[in-house]
Amino acid sequence: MSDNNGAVKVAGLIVTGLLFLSLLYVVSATPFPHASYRSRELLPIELADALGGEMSNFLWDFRGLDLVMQTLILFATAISCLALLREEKP
Amino acid sequence: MVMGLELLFMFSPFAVVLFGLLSERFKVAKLKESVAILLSAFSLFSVWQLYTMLQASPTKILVVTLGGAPPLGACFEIDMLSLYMAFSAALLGLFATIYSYSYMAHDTRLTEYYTLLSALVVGIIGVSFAGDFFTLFVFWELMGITSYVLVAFRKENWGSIEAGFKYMVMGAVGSTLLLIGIALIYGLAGTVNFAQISTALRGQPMSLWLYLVFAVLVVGFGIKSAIVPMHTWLPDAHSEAPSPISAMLSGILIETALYGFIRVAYLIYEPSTFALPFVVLAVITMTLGNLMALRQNDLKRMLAYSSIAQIGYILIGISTGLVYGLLGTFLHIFNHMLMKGVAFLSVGNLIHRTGSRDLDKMQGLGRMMPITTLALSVSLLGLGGVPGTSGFISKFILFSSALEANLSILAIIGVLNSTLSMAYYLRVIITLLGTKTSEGIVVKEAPFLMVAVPVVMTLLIIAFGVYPDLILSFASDASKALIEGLANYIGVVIR
Amino acid sequence: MTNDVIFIGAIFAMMCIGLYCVTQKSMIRILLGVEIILNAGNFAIVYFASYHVAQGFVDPLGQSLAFMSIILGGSIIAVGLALIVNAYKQFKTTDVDEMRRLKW
Repeated sequence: MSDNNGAVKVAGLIVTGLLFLSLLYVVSATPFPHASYRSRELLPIELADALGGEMSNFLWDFRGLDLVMQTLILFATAISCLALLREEKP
Repeated sequence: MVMGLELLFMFSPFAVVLFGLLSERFKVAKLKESVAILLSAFSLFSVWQLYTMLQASPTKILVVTLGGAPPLGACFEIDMLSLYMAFSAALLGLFATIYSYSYMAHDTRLTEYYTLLSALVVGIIGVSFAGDFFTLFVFWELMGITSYVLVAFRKENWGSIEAGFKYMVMGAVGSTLLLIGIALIYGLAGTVNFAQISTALRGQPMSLWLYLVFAVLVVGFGIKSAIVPMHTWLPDAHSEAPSPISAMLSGILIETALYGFIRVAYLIYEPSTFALPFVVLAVITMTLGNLMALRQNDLKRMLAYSSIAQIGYILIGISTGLVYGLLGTFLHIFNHMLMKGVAFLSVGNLIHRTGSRDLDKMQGLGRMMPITTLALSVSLLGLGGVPGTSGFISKFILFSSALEANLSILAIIGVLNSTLSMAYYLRVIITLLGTKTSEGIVVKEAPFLMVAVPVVMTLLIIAFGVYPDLILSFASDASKALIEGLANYIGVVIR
Repeated sequence: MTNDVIFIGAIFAMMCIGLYCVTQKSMIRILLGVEIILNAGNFAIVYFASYHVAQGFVDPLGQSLAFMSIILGGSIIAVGLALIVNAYKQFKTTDVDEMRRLKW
């Protein structure tokens, strides 16, 4: 594979370029229907100075379950780094 | 809306690590293993409590939140299907933890092992319970991160690290595709709650963007679920992981990824849009899994390719779109969990005694390790679909549902593949039970707990093969809750 | 509509660049490819969230999802780096081709 690596790269680049251009054409032909199937009431927040506090309120009011489970993930990440990096004599 | 003590088991990894550190500090032997086993039994008990709570009234669905109201806030939405998958996960988690008590007894870093195993079970149960797409994504990541590390756990072997790294890279790409699916659905429907997505998007005419969402969801869930073009991480990861972790991965993790796809896709699309893509995917997955398994000499790699083939059979049930087909799917998920669990745990016994995974070095081992070989033989016959085991019943339902949905070609290919798979299953059984022995192998039977767990699971396989009513009613409730209970599912959240 | 073309094209381009980096030889480059792909996903969420409200307001749900997803991406990278450290300790190299011994 190292012999014709250059040919593989050029071929991949051409295929990717063609896919990219066709994606651009398709997206411009059928535009994305933003929020057209929306069925919920919005809760927009005005861009003001105290944005951090308001986002924090939103997170803890409505996404509390995700945040608590995210602490479990961060804990699992710490334990997994310990599991991989600890040197223990058997 | 209930938030009681039933979900307390989700915090059990914290307790395991606490007792693990205590046992290391005060040198109490076997404390952390016992605590891990007790907590996994507690998880199973909690799932059982939730089941009896829901069983009382058939149309009841539990919605659990922490603070805000569901359509904007994160929630668990627990119906019969979620409990079915959670029950399978908790049962296999309990068996794997009991098996690890003696299998991993001579390993290091055991505190981290039991914590991560407990967190893996919590992640899988969380994916089953999720009522919101982003909650599913958070638990998906928990399931993924713990499994990447558990595959690479025996870091002294070079193969484990390579397998873990390859699995991690492909899993991360899959998670991102899932995230792009969430983004597209959020852009279309303005919400990530399952009930609201269903209200917004179901029944709409299929446009280009909905097809794109379908493709992204298939690839994103399919990478973790080992559907064929995206399966390449599976043979390495499942053969290099320690045996109880292989059993967990093959037994319940890839099926939970498929459950995630089924849940989301049945909310958004009509079942008739599934037929063609899934017929093609089922055929390629079954055939490639069985053909590649024929060439293997490594026992665990052969079982890993067999897992890919079994996922192909499960995809047959999804492609029919009938309640009967989904009954076969979910029943096969439970049966495959039991059978593949027994297979990997018995192979773990064989590897523990002989020290290698090569099938040619294990000739004639059946005479020296009779109970293990008996369990392994029953499970392999069950995977092939021999009557008398529970595998026969689920495969029968899958293939007859394919006939009922006018997909007879799929049923024929399925039966042919099932026959093909018996070739390598019988090869394993004959090698183990033959009279010719490899030179230099003199072993005894494995330690007591390592033999007891596969025996108990084998008895369950035979029991559910002869009296399937026990699990058949549960699976039937689960599949009805998905298709016929959709209005109920939506109605609980959106009044 | 031109916004659509630019941003969806950018997301696709980031995924392609990330997928190219994943096929490289060095493990660190592979991990950077994973990070680029994860950033493409976060970018997609923020972009599609921006169309739900009028100018001058922000939709908090989309921003919250992106915020939590960045944290999850950080966890994955941490685990990947721990794996690379282990591989280096064993092999004294981070070249994937030299370590590829698992065949069919």
